[in-house]
Amino acid sequence: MIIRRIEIENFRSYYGNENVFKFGEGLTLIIGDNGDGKTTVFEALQWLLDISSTDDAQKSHALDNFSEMRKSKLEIGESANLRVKMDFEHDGHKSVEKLFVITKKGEDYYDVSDIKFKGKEDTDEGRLSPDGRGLIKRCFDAEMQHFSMFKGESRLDVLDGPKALKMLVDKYSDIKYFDELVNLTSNFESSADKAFRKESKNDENTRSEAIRFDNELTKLSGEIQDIRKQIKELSTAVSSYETMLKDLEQNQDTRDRYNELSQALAGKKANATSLKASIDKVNLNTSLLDQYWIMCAFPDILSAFKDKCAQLRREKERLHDEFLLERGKEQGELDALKKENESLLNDDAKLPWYIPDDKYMKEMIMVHRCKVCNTPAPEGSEAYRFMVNKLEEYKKHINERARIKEEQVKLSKKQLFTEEYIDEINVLANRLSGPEEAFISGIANDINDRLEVVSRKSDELSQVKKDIEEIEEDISRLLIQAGNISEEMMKKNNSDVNNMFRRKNEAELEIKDLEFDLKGKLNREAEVKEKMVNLKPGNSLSRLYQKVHFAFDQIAQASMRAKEKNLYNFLNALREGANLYMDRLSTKDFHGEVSLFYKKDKDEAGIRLKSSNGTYITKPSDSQKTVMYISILFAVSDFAHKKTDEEYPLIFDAATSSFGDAKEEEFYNIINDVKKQCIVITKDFITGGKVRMNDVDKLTCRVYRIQKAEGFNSSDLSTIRTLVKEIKTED
Amino acid sequence: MAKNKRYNENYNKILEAVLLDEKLMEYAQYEPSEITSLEYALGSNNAIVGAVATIIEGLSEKKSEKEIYNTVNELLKKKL
Repeated sequence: MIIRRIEIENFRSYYGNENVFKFGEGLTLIIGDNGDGKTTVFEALQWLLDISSTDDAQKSHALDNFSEMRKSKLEIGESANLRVKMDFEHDGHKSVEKLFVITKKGEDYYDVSDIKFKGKEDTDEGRLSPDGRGLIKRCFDAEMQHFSMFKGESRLDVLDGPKALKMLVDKYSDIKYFDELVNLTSNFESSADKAFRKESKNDENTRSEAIRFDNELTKLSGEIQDIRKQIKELSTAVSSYETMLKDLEQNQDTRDRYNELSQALAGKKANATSLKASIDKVNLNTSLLDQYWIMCAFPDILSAFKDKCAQLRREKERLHDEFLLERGKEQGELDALKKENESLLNDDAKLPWYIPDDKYMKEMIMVHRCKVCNTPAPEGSEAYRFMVNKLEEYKKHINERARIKEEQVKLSKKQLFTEEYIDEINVLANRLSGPEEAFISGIANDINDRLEVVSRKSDELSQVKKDIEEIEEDISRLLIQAGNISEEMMKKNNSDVNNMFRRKNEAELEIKDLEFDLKGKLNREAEVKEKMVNLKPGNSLSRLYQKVHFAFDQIAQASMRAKEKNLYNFLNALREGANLYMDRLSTKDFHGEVSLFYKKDKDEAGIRLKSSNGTYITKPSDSQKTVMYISILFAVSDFAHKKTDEEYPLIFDAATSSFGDAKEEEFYNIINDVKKQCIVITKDFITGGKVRMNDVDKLTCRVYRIQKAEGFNSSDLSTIRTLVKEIKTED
Repeated sequence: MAKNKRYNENYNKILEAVLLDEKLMEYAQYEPSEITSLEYALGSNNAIVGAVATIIEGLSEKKSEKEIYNTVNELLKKKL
């Protein structure tokens, strides 16, 4: 099977339908930095190939995988596809496509169509459209995927795990289902043994011994069963500790970073708690604000009031001054008028206007004689008219004087301000100042101080909460990247690790003791069985049962030996194949030899690296381990090819992170030369967020760069979009 | 060993692997080269060869454990 093309449409960060990867028969690299969508490519493929989940289960999770960006751009009533398609060669051209149509029905309400899982197949009879599920089962089933798709470096060991060896042997050795034969023949031996023992107890020649042996065997059998059960439980515990310790060791950097972030988070959370307590501690309750809050503004209001009073006072003074000036002016004008009046009269006659007075004047007019100059003044004469005029003048003066006097009286009585309000409010302002003002200001200041503390601490708390969110996001990202290690494991500290080592060592010691006991019991069981076998039954039926049991025992043992031989042959062939690849993948470095061993008691196999002088390399480097595991995978792939006449791709997500920059180029070029289809998703060849194009250009394989589109908002998933670009074609 | 297409290739290989066990050969006194297939082994006069073949046949045909045991047990009782 060769994958030719993968299309990803609206799957998580792969927005739109232009995300296409094409693959040749050798190596294809997909490179991207953290968060660029590397694992999403792998998981999109896993999603497509998932045939074990029910249609309903897949439908219910479809929205989780739907692009947030596409979702955010959907209008109500509009639809979009969630789709992954793979074109491949497997006995002819084929393709498989998984599709959901997602329709926006309302704000935050989406309809997901039923799954469309379609296959296409070119055959001699033309193009067929089989069910996608059936096509995958036929061409790339779950077991094949198990040996083809690898997520993370720690999952490269195909022999890791209790059922791994059986799966590998059943899939790729010449013979499978040996385990079933071994179990069956072993059970037959037990049944035949029981039958023989039962019959022996009925035989007079052997009865007493048979009963004794049978009782002992029954007792031994129970004890052996118990011991085996204990060993199994302890072995499971040891295996679990080993897995945890291995994960911890392999994820040390991630764990250190996690602990660093966790400590920072704990510090920030403590800070937030302390700030919250400080804020809560500030007394803003009835004794303070409820009684006095209205007074808070008093100092400011009083100050404004005093300013206003002063302004009024000044305004009053100004108006009063103006008033006085005006009054003086009016007085002056009256005086001037008076003088002018007098002067007028003085100008007209030498005599003042009041000489002679009106009585004398009237008398002179009456007698027609001017008694001032003692000349006659007949009616109609000049002198007579003078006297009449003089009298009129006199009357005018008298009237004018009376008016002026009246004006003067009025003027003297005129006042601008008849009330004392401005003086009163100034007195009030003065009275409110001083100790009362100081007392109320003290309260206001206290309240302001407290409110200021609350405000400042609230700002600090907001910042701390923001920091907490950022750290929690970092932790989430770290956990997603770590993938294979749980958060609980991340929390393990040195003391926990030491504790785990201690418990593992204790369990191992206990297993050794139990195994010693078991060996003794088994030896004794064998002795008793031997004695049982050697009994000389008196009757023919007992003898027959004895023979039948012996025959079953021989068949069971032969089956076991045959299974082991088959296994050793397979492991030898695998080892030889792997070592050929080790040579090719590490021509310049020391690489050692792959050694495979079989743990009969656990029916498990393991992989070790050893030097050609026979020394085992107890702590190979991560890159040595990676080369070793990949060599074995290539050898397994050869078995698959031999067995099925089909090649299968090897797809790695972040499997080569232990390689240094210097080794990347050499390693990948060799893999490309191996001419097995490999798809490697990696962050190699990226330094400081930039692709080292000089190094990429030295590669002979096809290279894709995946990258987040610029202009995204780091806290908004709907702004994240991965762009796919082929940056190097195959040489 | 010649292959017989009636039985799955795998079960012929299992039979071959078991019958090639030296200790079993020594005990049962048979010549593996004479046993050409599972079908042939089922018709063998050798009790052990017949028993092994019957067990493997039962396995290939997914017969129950009890059924296989009873068949083989009777076969051995008859031939031993």
